[in-house]
Amino acid sequence: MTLPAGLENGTRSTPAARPSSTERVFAATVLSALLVELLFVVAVIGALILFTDPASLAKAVASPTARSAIWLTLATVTISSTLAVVLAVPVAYGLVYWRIPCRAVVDTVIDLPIVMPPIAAGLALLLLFGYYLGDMMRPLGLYLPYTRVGIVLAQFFGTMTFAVRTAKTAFEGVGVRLPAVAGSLGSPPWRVFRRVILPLSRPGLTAGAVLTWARCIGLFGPVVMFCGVTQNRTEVLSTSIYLQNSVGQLEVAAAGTLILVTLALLTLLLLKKLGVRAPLWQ
Amino acid sequence: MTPALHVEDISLRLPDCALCDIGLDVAPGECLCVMGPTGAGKTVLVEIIAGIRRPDRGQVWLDGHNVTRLPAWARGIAYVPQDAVLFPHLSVEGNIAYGLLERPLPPERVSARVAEAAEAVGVAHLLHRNPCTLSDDEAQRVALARALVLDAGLVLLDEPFAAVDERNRERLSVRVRDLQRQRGAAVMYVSHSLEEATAVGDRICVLDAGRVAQIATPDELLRRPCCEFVATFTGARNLVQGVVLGVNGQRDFIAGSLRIPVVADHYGPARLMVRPEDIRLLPAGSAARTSPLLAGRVKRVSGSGALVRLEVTTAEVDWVVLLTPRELKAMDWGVAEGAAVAVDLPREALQVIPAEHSGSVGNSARPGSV
Repeated sequence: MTLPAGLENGTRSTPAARPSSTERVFAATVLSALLVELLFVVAVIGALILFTDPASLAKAVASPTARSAIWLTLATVTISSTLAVVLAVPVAYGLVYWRIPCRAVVDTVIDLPIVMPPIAAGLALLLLFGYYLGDMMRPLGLYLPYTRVGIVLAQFFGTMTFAVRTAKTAFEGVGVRLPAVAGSLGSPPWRVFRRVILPLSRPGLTAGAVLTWARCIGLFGPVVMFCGVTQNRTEVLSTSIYLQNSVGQLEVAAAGTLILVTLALLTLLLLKKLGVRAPLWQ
Repeated sequence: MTPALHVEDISLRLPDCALCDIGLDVAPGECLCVMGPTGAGKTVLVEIIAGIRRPDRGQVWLDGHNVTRLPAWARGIAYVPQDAVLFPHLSVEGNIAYGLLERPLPPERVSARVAEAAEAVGVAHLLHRNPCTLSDDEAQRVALARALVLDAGLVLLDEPFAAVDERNRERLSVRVRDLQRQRGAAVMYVSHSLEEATAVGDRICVLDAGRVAQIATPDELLRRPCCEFVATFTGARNLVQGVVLGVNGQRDFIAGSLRIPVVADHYGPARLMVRPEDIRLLPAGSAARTSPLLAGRVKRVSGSGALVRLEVTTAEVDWVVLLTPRELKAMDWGVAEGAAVAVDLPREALQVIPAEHSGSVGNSARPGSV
């Protein structure tokens, strides 16, 4: 009598013992993709680090122009991201907890700036606050294009949708059941927000605020179109890199880039420290 | 007396459920149980009364005030949702005290009322626990305490003990009913279990596909279901398909060769319902007294607990009979499988239900019964 294949020695071969060729190809694909991704990131950052020697970095950071750009960046980014988050929380609350007529349309309009090309956003800002409202606002001392206040406005426009989306994700995580039950126990909406929604969404909102800040710091398109790059006046880190590179100061540009990368890394570490697993792509 | 809750022609259309012209009242101190199959609209109805959903049409009145346009937080109703829904960032004590903290009460009064409510539902030992560490049973009890502590005039309980084991469910639900009755509060209690509903409810409302099929006391519901749906939903056996015919005011229910005089206010296709515990068995050949006797034979005897179930075959129908062991023992003439018996159908136990057009419902009549 002939035994079926695999049972000749009285033992049955298990499927796990011999992975099929498809399984091997699948595992190899995953591993290759992982390696390519890791190597690419490490290579790009490595090139930046290799190019920037500590002496030129220190010199670049110490220069009055660079220091002005760093401080202006930190100040404008902090103001604009704070404004974006402060506005985003009530907007996201309304989108999640209110019955808004034509919700899909409202949602799409609010999402528009995030898909708008950054340069186009800058041009649109320039048209609104320069071409249409400029003459009206100039006598009031509120002419915004090519000013530091304009930088805040451009950064705010570039990140407000992002802030709304992160806040919305945080509120959606809380859901509608808990607030509904809190309401049935006698809490009016503001008290429900303060006692239930806010405590439960705090990790998500914090992550959203940190990510908004990080996104704001690297914003280039709207800022360069709306405010230009004037040394010691409207030069922030992201536009400074472009300006220094275009005038041949590659080492200064690389130093600025390294500072931005370090800030991004610190943001990631802060998020991990906060224990927040926020979806970074939103 | 003004009802604690008056629901008037409530209608709401949702993608997976619709309520249509729901009307009901709940008196102060009364417990109305709401029953119905899945998707009948029980939870949606409760959510409309609680103010969580807004109806397309109709009105909700509480203590004589129209609250249809009032938000949930202004209605003063205590609501226990189906799945507990405890606040995960608060302790059990914080959860129970949640509603009280919306009122101008001194902290010591809040603590005392929390302790009292927790004691009433047996969660006093859990006050400092985090809700995430509770079992489903414990979480539902905490949700119940959170509602009871409010001392509201109307308490809405949406299957509050679904996660509690069978043994404790009835005990807890009766305890809650008694507590609310002492306080004079009206209770609307959604339940899936007929046993629970009959134990707790002063009246039972049966919903069928978003409409009220019947509102009646438990006894009336079981003995006088208004339609086939209610009869089958409440577990009625001995539903015989036939027709009501009659002349000169005398009406008979006819199914094949079975002809039984009945009290009915209509003619035509109908079902005859006799509850299994109302059927009496007599020795074969007994003389008829006031009600007709049918010759039959015991086909099967099963069960030995609180009730013994007998299946008795007659010419047209298989009858299910339920007897207590004591009643069975008293039949010293011998009731055993295969024994010939006379089936006595007391006239007062016969219920004629108009036939519905919607196909057949479960019954014990053999195929071929007219």
